[in-house]
Amino acid sequence: MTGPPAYFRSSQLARQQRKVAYLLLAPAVIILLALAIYPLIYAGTLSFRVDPLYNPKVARFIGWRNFTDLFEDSRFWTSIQLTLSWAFIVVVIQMVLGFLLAIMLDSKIRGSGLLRSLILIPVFISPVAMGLNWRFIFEPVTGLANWILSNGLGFEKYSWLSHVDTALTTLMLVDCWQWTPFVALILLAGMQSISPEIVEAARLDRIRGIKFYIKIVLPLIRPVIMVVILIRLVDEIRMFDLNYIMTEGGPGSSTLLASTYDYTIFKHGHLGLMAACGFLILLLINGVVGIFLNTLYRSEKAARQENIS
Amino acid sequence: MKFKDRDVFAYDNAQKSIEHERKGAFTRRRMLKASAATLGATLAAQFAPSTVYGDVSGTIVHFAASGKRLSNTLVAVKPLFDKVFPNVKLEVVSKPVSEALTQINTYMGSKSSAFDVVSADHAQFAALHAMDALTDLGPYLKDSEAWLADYDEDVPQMYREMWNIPKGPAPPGFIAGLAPDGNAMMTFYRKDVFDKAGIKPPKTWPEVLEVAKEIHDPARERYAYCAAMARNFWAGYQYFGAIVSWGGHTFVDEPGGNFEPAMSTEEGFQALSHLVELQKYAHPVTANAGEDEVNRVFGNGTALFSPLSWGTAVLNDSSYTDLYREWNMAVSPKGTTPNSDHRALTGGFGFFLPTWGGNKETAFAWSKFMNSGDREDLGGSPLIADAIVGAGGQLSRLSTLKRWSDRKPFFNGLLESFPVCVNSSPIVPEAYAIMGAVGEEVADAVNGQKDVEAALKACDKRVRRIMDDGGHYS
Repeated sequence: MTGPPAYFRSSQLARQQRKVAYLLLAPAVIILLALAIYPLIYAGTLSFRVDPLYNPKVARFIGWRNFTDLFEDSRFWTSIQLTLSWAFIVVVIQMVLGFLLAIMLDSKIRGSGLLRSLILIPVFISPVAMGLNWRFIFEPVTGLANWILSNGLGFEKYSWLSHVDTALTTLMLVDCWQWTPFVALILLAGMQSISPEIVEAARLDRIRGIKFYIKIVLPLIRPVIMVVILIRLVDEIRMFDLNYIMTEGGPGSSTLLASTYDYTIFKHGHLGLMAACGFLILLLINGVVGIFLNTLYRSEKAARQENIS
Repeated sequence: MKFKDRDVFAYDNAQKSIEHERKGAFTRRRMLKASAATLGATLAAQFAPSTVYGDVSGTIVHFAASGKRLSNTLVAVKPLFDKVFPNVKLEVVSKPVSEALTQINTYMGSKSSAFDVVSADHAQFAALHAMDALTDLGPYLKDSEAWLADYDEDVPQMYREMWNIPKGPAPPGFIAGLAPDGNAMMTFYRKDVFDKAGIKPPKTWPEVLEVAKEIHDPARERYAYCAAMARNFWAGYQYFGAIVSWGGHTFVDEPGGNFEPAMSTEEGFQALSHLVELQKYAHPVTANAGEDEVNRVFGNGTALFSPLSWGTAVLNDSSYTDLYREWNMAVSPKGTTPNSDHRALTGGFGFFLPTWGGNKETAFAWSKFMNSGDREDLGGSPLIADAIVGAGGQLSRLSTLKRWSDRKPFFNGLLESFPVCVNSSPIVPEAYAIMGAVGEEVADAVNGQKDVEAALKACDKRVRRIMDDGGHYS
C-alpha cells in the first residue's frame, strides 16, 4: 500500500491540508449521498416490498416477488425486446445518416456553415414540444403528413401512430430526425481533427471519394464513433419522453418501451414493482454498455497488436 | 347597472388573475383561464350577496386538474366568492389532467400541506381515505342543515353517495367531499347524421353494431365510431361501461364480499367482444385515444358516434366546434342477456379538504359556495351555476342542469343517465390500479394483440394480484 511519505503524514501542515481537502470534498459527497446513493438504496429496498401509492398501510416486505412477477409478465419481456430492437435500429440509422451528413458538411460547398447551424435546430427542441408537434403532423385525418401524402403525392391517408404495425417505426423516424444532426456534428468534429498532413498524403496516394472516407477517415475517427455510439445507445435504451408524449406505449402495447412501461407501473401506484423494474432497466443499460466497452477494448487491443506485429 | 365597491373589487381580482396568466407566454390554456376570470367578473357585477363575511380572512390554495371543466370553473366562480369573502385570498393551482390525478396521490401520500382544497376524481376517494387524507365534512355541515337538505334534494342520491363512501372503509355518514361537477358515460351521436339516415340512437349493443355499419363512410372521412381506447384507465372505463350494461361486474359479488374478480365471464366476453367488433368502424385515433383526442375528432366532424363516452359539455360549446348544435347525447346501450340493462358509469370531480391543509373553515366555506344552488337565502345564487356552465363546466345539481338543458343537450344526457347511474369503479383504494391494469388488457385486445379470452383471463389474474397485495383476501 502506498501513501504520502511519513514526514508529510505527521506534519501539522499535512493535517490541515487533509482537513481542507475533506471540507472541499464534503459538498460533492453530501450531494452524491443525498441525490444518488440514498435514492438508489431506497429504491433497492423498495423493490423488495409491496408499497402501493394508493394505500401505504398495506406496505410490507415480499422478498423477490416483484422480480419474479416481472419475469413472468409477457408485457415486461415485450418491452425489453422492443427497447433493445429500438436502440439497435435507431442507433444504426443515426450513425449511417449522421456519417453521410458529416461528409456533406465537411465538404467546402457554399453555405455549409449556415447548414451546420440549421441542422442543429432539432437537437435543441424540447422532446415534449417536439413530440406534441409530430403527433399533430401524424394525426390520421387532419395531419400534415397525410395531407402531403394524399394531396401532393396521391397516396392514401394512413394512421401512422394508431396502427400497431407502424407506430414504432414512426417514433423511430422522429427520434432519428432529432438526433442524427447531433451524431453528424460530433463525427464532423472528429473528421476536422484529422491532421492535414494525413489528408494531403492520402491525396498524393490518389485515395479519394468514398475510398478516402472508408480507408482513412473511418479508422482515424474510430474513438469518436465509439463514444457517439455509447452516448446514443444509453440515451435510446432509457428513451421515455418522446415515447410517452407521442404514444404512451400504445396502440395496445406496440410501442411500450421499457422506461414507459416502468412509468405506467408508477402511474398505477405499484411503487415496489416500479423500483424492481427500474433496477432491471439499470442492469440492462449497464449490461449493454459493459458488453459494448468490452468489445471495444478487445478490438482496440487486437488492432494495437496488429500494428505492432 | 349600478356598480358598487365590491364590483370594483371583483373586477380588480379578475384583472389580477388575467395579468397573472399573461406572465410568460399567452397560451391557449392561459387565454381560456383569463376569459373564465372575465366571465366571473362580469357575473360578479350583477351579484349582490345577502351576507358579506368581511371578518373572515386568510389564503386558500385549491388544486385542480386544468381545463375548462375543472380549474376554469373555479376561476369563473372566484369573483363571486370574492364579493362574499372580500378578505379571503383564493389561489387556484392546476396541472394537466393526465398528470394531476397521479400528483394528487403523490401529494397526499407525502402528507403535503400545500393545498387546502383539492378537486379529485370519484375513483380516487377510497385511496385518499386509505391515506387518511380526507377530512370528514359532517361536522362542518352541522350548522348548515337547510343548505344540506337543499343539496340532498337537488343532487341525485346515488351520485351524492359516491362522495360519502358509505360502502367503503369509512365509517357510515363520513362525508368525504362535495361534488359540483356531474358526469356519466353516455351515448354521443350526431343528430343530423342520424336524422338523415332515419335512425335513432341504439338501445342495445347489437343495435350499436348495426348503426355503426350503416353510417360508416371512411371514403368521405366520416368514421362511425370513436372511443377513448388508450392503454390505461381510458380503455378500462370503456370495458367497465360495457360489462355493467351486460349485467356483469368487476368482482363476483360486488359490492362488498370477497372481491373475487369476475371479468372472464359471459358478460365480460360479450362486453369486450362488442368493443373489439366495433373497431371495424372506428376512427383511426380510437386505437390510442384519450378523451381529448375523441373530442377533437367529434368536434371536427370526422367521427359521428360513440356508444360510450365520458361526458363533456365541450361538444355543445360554439367556441369549440361548429357542430355544437348537432351533438346530442342519450343514455348508454344495454346488452341482450336477462341481467342486462341501461347502466351509466358515473364519475365526476369532488372537492375534499386534505387532512394536512390549513384554513379548514374558510376552505369549507369556499367548497360549500361552489356547491351552492340557486337559493339566495341559503347563500347561493343562480350566477354560480351560470359561471360554471359559462366557463365550460358541467353540474351535478338537477335544478341547474334543467335550467341549462335547452342550450346544452349534454345536460339532457346527464339528466337521463343519473337515474341509472352506477359507480364507475369499485370503492376500494385499488380502483385506479384496477382500471389501469384492465385498460392495458382491453387495449391489447381491441388492437388485435391478444384475443378476447386471453385478455379477460389476464384481467382477472392481474386484478386478483392487486387485491391480494391490498390485503383483501387475508
